[in-house]
Amino acid sequence: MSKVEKALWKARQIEEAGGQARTEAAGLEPGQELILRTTELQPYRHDIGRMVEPWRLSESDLAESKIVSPDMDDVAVADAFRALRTRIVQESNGSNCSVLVTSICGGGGASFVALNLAVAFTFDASRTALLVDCDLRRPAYDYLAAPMMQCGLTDYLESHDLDPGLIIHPAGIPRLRLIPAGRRSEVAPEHLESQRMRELLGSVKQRYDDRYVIVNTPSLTQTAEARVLSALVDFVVLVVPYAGATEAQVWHAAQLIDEAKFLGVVFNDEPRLPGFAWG
Amino acid sequence: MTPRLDRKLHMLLNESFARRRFVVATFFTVLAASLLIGWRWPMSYTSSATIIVDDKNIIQPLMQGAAVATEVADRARLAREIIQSRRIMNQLIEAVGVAHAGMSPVERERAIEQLKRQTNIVNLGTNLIRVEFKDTDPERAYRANAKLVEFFIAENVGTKVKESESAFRFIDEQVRLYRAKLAKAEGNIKQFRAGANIPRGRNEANREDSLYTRAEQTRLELKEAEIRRATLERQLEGEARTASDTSQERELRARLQTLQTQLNNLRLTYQDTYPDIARLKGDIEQVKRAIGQEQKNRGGDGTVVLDEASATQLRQRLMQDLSQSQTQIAALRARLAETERTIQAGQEQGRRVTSGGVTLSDLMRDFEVNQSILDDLLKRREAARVSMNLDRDRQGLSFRIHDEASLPMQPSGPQFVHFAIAGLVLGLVLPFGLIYARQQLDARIRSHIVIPERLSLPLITVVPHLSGPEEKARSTRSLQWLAILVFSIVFIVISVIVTGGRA
Repeated sequence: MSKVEKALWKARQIEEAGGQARTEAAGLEPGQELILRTTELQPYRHDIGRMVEPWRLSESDLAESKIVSPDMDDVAVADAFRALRTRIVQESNGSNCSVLVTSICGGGGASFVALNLAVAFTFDASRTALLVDCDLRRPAYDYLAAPMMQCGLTDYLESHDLDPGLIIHPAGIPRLRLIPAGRRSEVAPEHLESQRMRELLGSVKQRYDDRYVIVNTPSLTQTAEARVLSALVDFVVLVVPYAGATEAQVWHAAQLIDEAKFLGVVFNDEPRLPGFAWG
Repeated sequence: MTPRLDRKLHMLLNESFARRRFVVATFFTVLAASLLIGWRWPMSYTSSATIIVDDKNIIQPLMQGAAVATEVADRARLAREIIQSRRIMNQLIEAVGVAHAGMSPVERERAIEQLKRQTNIVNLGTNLIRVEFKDTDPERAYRANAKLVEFFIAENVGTKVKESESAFRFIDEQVRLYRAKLAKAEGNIKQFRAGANIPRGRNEANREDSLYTRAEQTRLELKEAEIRRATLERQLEGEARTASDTSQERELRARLQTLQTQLNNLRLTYQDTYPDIARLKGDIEQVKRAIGQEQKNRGGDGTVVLDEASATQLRQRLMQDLSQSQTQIAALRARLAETERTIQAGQEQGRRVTSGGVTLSDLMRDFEVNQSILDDLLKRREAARVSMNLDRDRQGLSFRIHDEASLPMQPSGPQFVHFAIAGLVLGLVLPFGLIYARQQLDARIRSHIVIPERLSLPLITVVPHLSGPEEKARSTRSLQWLAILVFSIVFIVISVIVTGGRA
């Protein structure tokens, strides 16, 4: 059974089960029911080749949000993410995988790298990407999910029976799906260690073998989340911003990561003269 | 360019661009500050004069060796010492008009210090010294400098004359000292000689030698005279016995001998009875008788009797010689005795002197040393006298004014233009320098090369800074503004520089 057929089949089943059942299963309040009914099921109704994008970010929106696109002016940035993507694909021997992106320090650009890495995967029409925002304290991608409902990771972890499909949202970019941080920011990071989290990451990765899961986490050195989650993913990428950390800090951070999973360092935000690509 | 340097330059440029606001702000701050300082900087005027140190004088080669020209090693330092001496400075504050009645010593001291700061002495070459005086008033700068040079020249000449005079005085003093020493040494020797009655060394030996020779000679002469006397005495004794045959007797004896020969011949052939033999015998008897007769006539004792006159003459001469010889002997004897006595006396004296001789040689040495030193000192004193005269007549090393102090027309020191240029340069250099310094001091990683090279961590990719559209527009706008600002300010500053500051 092809991926397309699977998706089609799932969509039909959901449609047959009816809106009421879904609403109950999700345990949502009546106010949100409307939104759910009208929008969130759309992706599942179509096969992957024709994944329906309920809305799309315009060129200017992309530029505004600092999201790379294949035909952007600043080729160097897009190329940098292409290189990162290629590396991951090589490392995973062509099969899909989950990649954790963490930063050496707060504000190091992990969310930027994670988002654009996910976008870079979607440059290829045969691949899809799922971006999971695990930075529960400072959700990074709420603006992408804003037009949709904001049911996200925390909602899923808090409830015991919420279907993973309900927290996966389109992000306005073709072939990119997003699990936002969710509405309940008070959820403790300990939840990330839970079996439910493990199941989530496992299931989202295994569901489609062309789907790459990108996990955005807070800083590696300042919080424990990145270390906790690194056990649940295949690879870890460490983002080091320009003039953001000393050599010793980077070295110690690298020691915190399982060597087998540590893919490497992404040096971020290197300043350039306009019109030049140094070094 | 080495890769490392290249990378550093890129880092600097990249970061400078990222911090362009800081760069431009620093540039303007520095420029404005330097322009302000340049505006407020007090104008100063420098009057300068050049002095030639003339030590290649025409006199010098002539007097080479005889006189020592005064040597000046570090002329600028010497000049500075002299010019900044209290005496000259005191003269100067009077001359410049800084001093006034009722000035406290502290104020005076401050005024002098101020003047010292305004004075500058530069060694231009081996023989050129430049004296500069800086003041805010060109007129006063000129006046002060002229006075300074005047005082300096006067002071220097005085110093030199004094120096050579004191040298002369010193040597003169030494000469006197050694002369006294020498006189004393001489006196010591005289005293010693008088006390010991010592013949002079070398003469003494000579005289002794000659005495020996004379004694020997006298002895020989005496012997000779004695021999002569003995001979004369013998001659006088044997005078009568000296035989002298008369011619008659000689003839008779010759005839007798002939007759005897004839007889002997005849006896070989004949008997004694032969008539010829008998005749011969008779002849012989006859001759014998004649001879006997003859001898009888002469005295009968057999000795030859000279004729009276000659004998007396001879005897008289012999007697005369003998007495002469005896007189000579007596004289020689007396002389020998005298000579021998003298020698003996000399020997005795010599024996007495040997013990006192050590003291004498000491005294002699002392005398000789003093004498040689005195000789040397006398020569030196004359050299010093010539040097002193040279200096007195200003013929030795001298300071001459080569370039008179002049009234400065142009202000010296940094001017507004210099400040403007310095401000531009510093304004360009400082921000980059600060950014570079920050990069060097800040240990945070600024180059991705560090990650694989120094940390040995895999570097996957380098993401350049991505600016959003708003940021891009803002940076473009700011760049335009900054460019306009920088160019306009630089243009203004350069035009100010070209037109020549405040003028």
